[in-house]
Amino acid sequence: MRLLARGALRGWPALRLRAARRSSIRAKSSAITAWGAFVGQLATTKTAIEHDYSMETHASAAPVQISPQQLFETTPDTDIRISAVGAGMRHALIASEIVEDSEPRTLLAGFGLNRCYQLGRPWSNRSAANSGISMITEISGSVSQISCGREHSAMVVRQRDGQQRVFVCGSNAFGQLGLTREKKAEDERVLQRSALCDLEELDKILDAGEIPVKVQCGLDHTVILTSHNRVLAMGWGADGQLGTGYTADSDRPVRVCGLDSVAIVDISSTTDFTLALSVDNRVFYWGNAEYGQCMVGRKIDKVLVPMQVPFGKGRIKSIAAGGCHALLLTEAGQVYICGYGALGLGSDCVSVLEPTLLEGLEHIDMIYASTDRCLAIGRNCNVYSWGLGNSLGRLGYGISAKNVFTPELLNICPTLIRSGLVALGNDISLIATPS
Amino acid sequence: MRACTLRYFSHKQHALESTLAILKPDLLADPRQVTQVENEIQRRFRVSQRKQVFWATKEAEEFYQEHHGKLFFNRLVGYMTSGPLIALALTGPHVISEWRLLMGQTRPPQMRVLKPETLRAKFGLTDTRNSFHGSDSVASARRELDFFFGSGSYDRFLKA
Repeated sequence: MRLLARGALRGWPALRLRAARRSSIRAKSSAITAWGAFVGQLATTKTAIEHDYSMETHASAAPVQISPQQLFETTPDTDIRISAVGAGMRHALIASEIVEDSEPRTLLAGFGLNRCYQLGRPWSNRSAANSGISMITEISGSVSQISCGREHSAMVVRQRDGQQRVFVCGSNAFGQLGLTREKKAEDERVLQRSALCDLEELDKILDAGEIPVKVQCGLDHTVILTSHNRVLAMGWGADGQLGTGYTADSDRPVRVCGLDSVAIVDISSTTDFTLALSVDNRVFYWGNAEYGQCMVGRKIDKVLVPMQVPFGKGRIKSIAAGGCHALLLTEAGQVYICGYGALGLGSDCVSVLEPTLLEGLEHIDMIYASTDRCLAIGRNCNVYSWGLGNSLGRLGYGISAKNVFTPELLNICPTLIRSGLVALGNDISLIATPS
Repeated sequence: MRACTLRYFSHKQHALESTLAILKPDLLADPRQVTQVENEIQRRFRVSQRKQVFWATKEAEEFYQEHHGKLFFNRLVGYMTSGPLIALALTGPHVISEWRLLMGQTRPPQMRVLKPETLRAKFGLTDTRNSFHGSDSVASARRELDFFFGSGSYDRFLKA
């Protein structure tokens, strides 16, 4: 009912929403396990984890179940099918498909910070803003992937005609949304921000038949991978984040340099550098590298154009870019790490300049990184977490943990994990299990 | 006699200072963090004046003029103009070094390893987005407080 009321307020087709709810009672609903900032207020299960005075009440320092129905403000028996999740700095987005006979539509639920509309649009009123529990936005098409940065979000939306679009929202202070920054008078300074919109500017740079397939948000920049295996970037460029050879920002998508003869098949970025994997299994790196996370045996202030990283320990299955560290996963299920921080190599080894094997981890299937931390998921769905700083319980082991220098098993055992349904943000983690 | 000497020295050591503290744009993204930090500051120091500003490039360049030409100058200016910030004039005995101790050094990731109790370890994000600023000497405190609160503010805060 609340959803209908809100929809009506915003001028949305309330009738269609009601129809959607009736038709969607089908398979088992998705479930969400989460921990960190703003998760506590959504939890359906309580944990026995102690709370200390500095910990904010909205957070949860250990994994809990959150109710998709509460998040999407639907009735408890409503089937929620989560298609993508994203988490950034204290904000998160979760997409649920509404399956109907006609055109696909998606409900996007967000929770957490929303100063720059990184959840999709402004709060509808002050009390919603203060509670900050969840915000729902309806979009047409289905969301196949979401990524969230410091104060912005980006997603790939598949439309009925098979077209794929990039939608963006949040802060555009550095041009990270790819939208032209507003020019204001000197004495009238405002936050550069935008509600969720289609990044039409992308059409100008893509070839015919070329579509975006993946987006990655760094803290203040955005990287896009296309179906023609090319990479585009926009936003903050002060550390070479855009791979253009310059340190200028760009408020429209620009092509990353030096990859013309390389077919890129995957990208990863969360902070100030990007990793890219090519079809012939080479790894490329650009952006900030001042902690030696560039895996070439030395610290480099900034890498302005993509640089190939030498790696001879087997075929690479996936890549994960953090803040001061980078992770590589081999097809043998081994994890290599490079850079600075709680790397997983113990408290007496906080800096390595070449990819180093994490010996305690075996049979790993997926790796994730955020600015200060890492997550590895094994083939048996065992989840390991480690990293620096435990603000708002983000490491998942309770509030008493400070830094976790060795990968430890989290007390959760999801039955099935799909790579697009895991999000590791700065202070929020989400694992959705498919329906 | 001995007690008198001690009191004399300790009096000298508690020389009153003012300093400029800045809560930088990344911290202001979360109002809860700002409240938490300001509470902590008020518990320890006297806040003589407080001001929220949104810098234009020109103002940021003027404030950081000593860093002009350094590698990180443009990065710093771009970041400091990306959102509003809060300037605080803090006054107290040895407040310049006390605030710097509480804040921690430049790099938050290193602070998380070496000094997890500092504010930058708890709130800082990256080396550039390190959430706080503190004057590094009486001379810079004078200059920086003048910049935000008008000329002569250092002495004004000491007298108040």
